[in-house]
Amino acid sequence: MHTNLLRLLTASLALVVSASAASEEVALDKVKVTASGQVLDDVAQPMRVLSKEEMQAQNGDTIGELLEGLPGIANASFGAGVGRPVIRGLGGNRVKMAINGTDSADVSAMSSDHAPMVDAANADQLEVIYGPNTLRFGSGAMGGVINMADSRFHEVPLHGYQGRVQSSISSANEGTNLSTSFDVGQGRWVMHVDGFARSSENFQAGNGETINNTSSDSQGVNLGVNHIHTNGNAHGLAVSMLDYEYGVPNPDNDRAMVEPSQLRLDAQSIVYSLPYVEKIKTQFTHIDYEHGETFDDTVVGLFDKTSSEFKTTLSWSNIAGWQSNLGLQWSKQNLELCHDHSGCPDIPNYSQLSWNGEAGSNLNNDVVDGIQFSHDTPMPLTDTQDLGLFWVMERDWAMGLLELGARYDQRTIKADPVSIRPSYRQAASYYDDKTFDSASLSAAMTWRIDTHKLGLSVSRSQRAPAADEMYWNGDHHATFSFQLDNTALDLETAHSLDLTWLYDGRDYRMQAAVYYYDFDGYIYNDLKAMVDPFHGNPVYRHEQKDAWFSGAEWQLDYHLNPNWQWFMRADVVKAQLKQGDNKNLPRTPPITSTTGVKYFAGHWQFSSDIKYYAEQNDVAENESPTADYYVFNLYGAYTLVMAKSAVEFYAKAHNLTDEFGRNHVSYLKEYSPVVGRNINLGVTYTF
Amino acid sequence: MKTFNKNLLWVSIAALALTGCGSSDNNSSDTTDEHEHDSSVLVSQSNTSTLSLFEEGELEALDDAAAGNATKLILSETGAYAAVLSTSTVNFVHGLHEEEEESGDAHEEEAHVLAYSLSGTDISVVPTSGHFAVLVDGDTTFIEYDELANETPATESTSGLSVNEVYPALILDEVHDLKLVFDDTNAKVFEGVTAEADFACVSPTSHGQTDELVVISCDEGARAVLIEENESQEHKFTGSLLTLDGTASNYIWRAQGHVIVGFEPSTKNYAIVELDESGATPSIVVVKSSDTGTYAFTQNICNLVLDTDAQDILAISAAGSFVVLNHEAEMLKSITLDESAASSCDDFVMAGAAKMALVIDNKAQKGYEIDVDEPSTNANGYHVHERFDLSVSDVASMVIFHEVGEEAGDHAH
Repeated sequence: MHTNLLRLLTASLALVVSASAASEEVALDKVKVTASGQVLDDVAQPMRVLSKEEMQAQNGDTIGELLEGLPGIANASFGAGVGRPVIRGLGGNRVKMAINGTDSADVSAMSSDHAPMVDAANADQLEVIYGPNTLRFGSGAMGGVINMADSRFHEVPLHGYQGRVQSSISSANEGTNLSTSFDVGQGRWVMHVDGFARSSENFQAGNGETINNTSSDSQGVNLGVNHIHTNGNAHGLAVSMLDYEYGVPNPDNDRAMVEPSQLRLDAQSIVYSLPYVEKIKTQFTHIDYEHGETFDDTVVGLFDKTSSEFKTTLSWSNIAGWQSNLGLQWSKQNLELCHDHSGCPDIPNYSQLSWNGEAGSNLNNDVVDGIQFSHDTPMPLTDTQDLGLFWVMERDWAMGLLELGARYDQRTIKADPVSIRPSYRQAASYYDDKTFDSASLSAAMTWRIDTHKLGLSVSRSQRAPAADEMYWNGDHHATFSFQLDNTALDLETAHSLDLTWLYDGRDYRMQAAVYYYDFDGYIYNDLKAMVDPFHGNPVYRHEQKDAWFSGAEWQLDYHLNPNWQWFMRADVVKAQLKQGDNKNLPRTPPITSTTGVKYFAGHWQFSSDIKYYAEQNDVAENESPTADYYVFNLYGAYTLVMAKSAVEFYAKAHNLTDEFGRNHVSYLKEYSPVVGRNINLGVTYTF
Repeated sequence: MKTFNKNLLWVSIAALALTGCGSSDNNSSDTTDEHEHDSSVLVSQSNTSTLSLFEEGELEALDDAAAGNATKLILSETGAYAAVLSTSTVNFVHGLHEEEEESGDAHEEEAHVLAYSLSGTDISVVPTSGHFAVLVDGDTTFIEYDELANETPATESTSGLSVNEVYPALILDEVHDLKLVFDDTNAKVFEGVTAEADFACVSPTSHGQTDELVVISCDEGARAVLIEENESQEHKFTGSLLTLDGTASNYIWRAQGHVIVGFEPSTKNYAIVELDESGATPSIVVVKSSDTGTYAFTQNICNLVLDTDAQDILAISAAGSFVVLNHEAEMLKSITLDESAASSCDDFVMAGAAKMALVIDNKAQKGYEIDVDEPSTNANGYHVHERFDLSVSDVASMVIFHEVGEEAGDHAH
């Protein structure tokens, strides 16, 4: 992988000096949300877009770290290598992650130690999507959708080339980072190639302690070929590879690594001006994912997932005044696991062992408080098929914008216990096919009154349980925990109300949002007051109870003068079950507030902010509180503009005062505090 | 800030040349491995005289071979040595020892065959009270474990007792020079060279020994010899025949700590023998497989061993059923070994250690490491920790070198 990547990088750099630069790409004067095709300012539900430049100013590389600065978003970190966003306290399967509109199809929603296979090293922008447009992506994205948009697909011709090379180093983890992106076109044919390589050692926390098992290595390469017809029709193929290798901090300081690898194939076609339809966008994605969990150089856990997704969206710009999108989405995900202390060279198959269809003796012998514990392959082979039909439409009305969305899904989960030894199998009926039919409705509208914009969004969303939430019964090495199964899980239904207010004045812009989510049958991973009978590890089980989430977000950007801007952000979320002695839900983000300044003048830009994480005492059963802390950050950049290129030198200091803190959202907060002082120096060359 | 300065230098040299492609020395943490190899497994095979260490399913041959094929391995009570018994020779292997290096770091040396050996006809060996007792040509030679490393170790012999031994003699009390000697058709207790007591015992075949009790299978049945010492250090010896299920003379005995356990091969019969010292006079308590409330095996018992930590009884029975019993013969855990469902007793070889057993199934060519992760908090949490595929199918005998707790080691025979 390294060799190929180096060749790729060398080739792309060589092209810099041999090709002529003349881009025909149309620069967008307004920020466009690629996943929905909307312009950011024109949406009823507030969406958020993080540009390439804004990503550069963030600390860290994971999607969770990059988005953490936005109000309402927290980072469910699992050491330095994993950071999955939590939106308004909702994470896992309720936050869908996508690349150019199709699912990342990794296993990051299954467990917090599994890295999302979405890397923003060469992303054009990161988009956070709420409201009716989330229905384009699938059911259950109640928290929102994170879409990474990059340039593997082009929809307009390109003559010449354009590209970017970025390199940086960081102090707290001796990190090095190199990424490059290059697009070259000869009119109708446009090719994109990008790649990155990143490496870091164990980081130091704010108390100076080096946190073991926090090193990481990653590399990825992405190639896209596009053809754009004269009529605007665009067809593209892309292939990408992504490899991670990261440590998992743990109480025993065992050498524990997770090594995911993914091969992704994408095809995209956009066809205009068909009879009865103005545009059809069709996407097909096939992903081959695998990750091993390694202890002392033995792969003791293996996760293999193969998935395919087909999505086609028919668009009309005006049907009785409505801009409409009708879509069909089909996906199939095969998930296979191995757990074996002596090593997992492959997914086991015990079809040669006889089984009478009854529950296995070992399963019946390992019972604690009436619960059966398995010590074999944790899950049967599962085949999850989703078929969804969605309809998303919007139109202007006298005072603003109206958006409507509806989606129907059918999920079928097939399970085959052939990978589990008969003595650990449940009775045959346990593996019967399970089918869930879910329906989601969403509506949002805005009122524009002078410089004010009010927004109201209501929705009813349903999410079918995932195969792993139902079937996992076994040890999970990387989390040092034991997960129990629950095949009684049923649909989770959320009713939400979201009110937003935007003031866009001459000197300042203020945004505020309040929301309330009411869940029927909220599925959450409950920490039990027991340990597993094999290793004495904590035991979790997905339970389903009614719950509610409520919170608020606030943001102010004040232009002090043409050069200086002052900003403030704050968010709060409360999450509780409706029954029980202790109603708090686990890992609920604490209140955060941020204030800072930005300076822009000529080729210089500078920003400074301080973010305060309040203590979190609203803790769930068996969960410990987390103390408050703050992080002080600085960022500065200078851009040297040349004839047809630019070089930007930047420096950033994260946690400059070397504060010690723990991330309440992280499963690993006890073992992996937040990164201490980290100085990062980098350079970006664009051409 | 050392790191920062180093990186700053990098930048000043060539920021764009930073590749980040070099593989990092990940997690160079000074971690300690919970599963450190403080034990090793010695196996002998039917089709070769090669002795091997067994690790992660692989056999690594020792430099020196045994004196023959299919040797029987007998572990010392300390867990550090093994006797290797062939038809006419006993060799010894030192399997667990640490040597201090100049740096002061402890260094583990691999198991190796020691120079000292004994040969002759009618040879057999048992461990007893800190010694191997080797019966060669009618006389027992006692070799203290720590002497084994010497090329000519100090030994003691029963040759001066004018007896015709048919089974290795046992040391009952080294301080008082008490020995149990199997003379033709009798088991005789000697204090020095004086016979103090004798009991009928024809053709002894197996024994279990604790501090104050010996159980031995003779043609008469299972003979228990109780050794009592009064306040004036005078000894009293009582012999009795135990009432057991099935044919008591066929029982094979194991002992660890204060527990003696035996089973009758090719049957489901077993017995647990302990000394009850709670009364004015000690009494022998026998828990039999037919007693009410005891665990009843559904398949014939293939082998029993005692764990060297809590003396749990670890049993493998036909069709791959592994069972853990406590001293009251109550089942603590039953584990089905799926891949061994078609295997019979002839296929299984088992060895025990502290809260751990290793089971080899020659037919299925599988190895099972069954253990408890956290004995202090989860004493009965036996589970199959690892399964191995074996490249051989002729494992004949196996011992696990491991450090036996002082109390268990002192009394385990």
